[in-house]
Amino acid sequence: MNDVSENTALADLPGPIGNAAVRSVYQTWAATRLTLRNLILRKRTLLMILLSCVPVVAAVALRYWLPIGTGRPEAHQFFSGLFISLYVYFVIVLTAIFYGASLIADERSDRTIALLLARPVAREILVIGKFLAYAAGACVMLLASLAVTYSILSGMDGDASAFRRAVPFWRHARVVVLGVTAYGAVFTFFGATFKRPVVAGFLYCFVWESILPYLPIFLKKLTLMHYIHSVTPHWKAKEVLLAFAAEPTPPGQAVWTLLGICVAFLALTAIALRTKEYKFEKEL
Amino acid sequence: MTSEAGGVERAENTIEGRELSKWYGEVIAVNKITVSIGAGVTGLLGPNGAGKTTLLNLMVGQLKPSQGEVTIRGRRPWSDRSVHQVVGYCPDIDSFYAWMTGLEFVVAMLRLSGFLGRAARQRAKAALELVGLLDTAKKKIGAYSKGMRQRLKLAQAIAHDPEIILLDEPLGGMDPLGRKQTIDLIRTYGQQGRTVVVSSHILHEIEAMTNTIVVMNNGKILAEGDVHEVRELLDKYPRKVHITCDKARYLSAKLVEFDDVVSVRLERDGPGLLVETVKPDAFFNRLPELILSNNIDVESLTSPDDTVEAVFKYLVEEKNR
Repeated sequence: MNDVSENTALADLPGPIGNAAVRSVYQTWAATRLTLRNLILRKRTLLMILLSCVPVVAAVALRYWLPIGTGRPEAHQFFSGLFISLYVYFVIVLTAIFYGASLIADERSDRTIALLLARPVAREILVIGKFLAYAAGACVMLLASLAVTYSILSGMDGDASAFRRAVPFWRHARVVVLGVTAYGAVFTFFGATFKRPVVAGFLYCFVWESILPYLPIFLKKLTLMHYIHSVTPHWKAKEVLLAFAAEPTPPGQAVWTLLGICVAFLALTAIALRTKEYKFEKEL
Repeated sequence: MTSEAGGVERAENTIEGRELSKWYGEVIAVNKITVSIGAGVTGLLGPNGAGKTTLLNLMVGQLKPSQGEVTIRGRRPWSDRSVHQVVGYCPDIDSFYAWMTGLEFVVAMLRLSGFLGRAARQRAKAALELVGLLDTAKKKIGAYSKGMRQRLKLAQAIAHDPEIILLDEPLGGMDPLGRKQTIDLIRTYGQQGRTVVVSSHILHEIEAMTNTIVVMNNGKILAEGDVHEVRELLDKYPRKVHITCDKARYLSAKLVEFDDVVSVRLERDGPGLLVETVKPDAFFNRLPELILSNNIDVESLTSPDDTVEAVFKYLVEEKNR
């Protein structure tokens, strides 16, 4: 251990970035980098990779094991069905719950939030940096999965170009990105607010949103799934009660609504970090 | 020297608490504290549960005061986060990214504070050198001992060269050499004119760092000022000394002959005796000769009163008189 009076290295070294705007951008990048490594190096990531492989395995099974014959649906119908049933209802939602909710919740359970909040960095920057890390990680993983699934099914009927004309990849990719960001922002807020954000996420997705077909029209619009459906290609609502049948929101409006929800929940997360006290066992 | 409404005012107070309270439901962690802390090292002394960590967390802006206010250089840390540019905080709790190396951890904390990569790396290395961790800087934190983790927390707290350093039980888990080195480092920071607040529940640790102390118990400040005044206060009361030896009965007979010894009690179920003396210095000066001349084999010698709880007990009794 050196004598601090002799060691002037700390005082002589360059200080932080002077320009506030540049510093904010740099701090956002620092938070993104830290969070991305923290997300990737967890066991949870293996589970998430396995989860994103489920549609790929299903696509392989459909392509190679389903007997060819009359009456078999066409490849683009397989893809649409698989996209809605696996990606929209399952993979996107679970990825958002496990990754999004953990963004702040992991820092709380690891107690590292005590150090983060003692740094001269704005809460908003921390939230944006962390969310960018999640969005980048989740989108890369799910878009890679979608691309592989798309490739496997594209040649199923022997005419890949016909498949590509019927099912434009980018429109489905857009749903994945919107779903990951909107659900992720909501669950990031859950992670900053609730003690058990994963449970809250499951309740939201698999209780509240699962009763979507039974909800009156005005309540449907209080679910993220309604807007996800509205931007999903080939989506057809299966209304249980005809009186509750709702027209999808126009895709353009749905996109803006989902982005608005994302921004609103990230802002709420920043407010939660500003106003919430994180206490640990030994603090009394 | 005790303080309820007003603390000892010092020139250029950097940290001010006024009627500061913090409660969790019905539990009062900090109770109407008014305190002023200036440059130099201030020891925050109190038993576990005294409210030291809560007070430090109020100072660092991690907790919002339930009542009253705390300011650092006139700014409220809860609402004005720019305060953190001049504050270094070492929490009591273990909070790390265990998959990182020590160097990566300090670099990451500096980057979050707005230091560019190269400067962050240089600073991190300098800070790790100061706390004696540079040799193990590339080791994963998960493999660090408790003492090394304490040093690492200290490194991240000083790496941005803050003017105000808040350290919550920084010596916990350190080996004797680590303690001495850390105490020297803290003293040097104090001598440089920085404001350093160190919490501990061990009186002699604080004594080794500073003469200025704030004594807390049950969320209140019991005493504030010079550590020697607290020591003098202690000496007004008989000091307990516990001795375990092979000739307990013989030794007790010898000890009762001394004027300063007010009582000697033999343990019923062990070879120990508990002595109460009103002049501990004289007692401890005399004891070695007594033991050697009578060929007494001493197994252990402890002073239960050296625990800080005893100090608080005395101070509480003093306040209640």
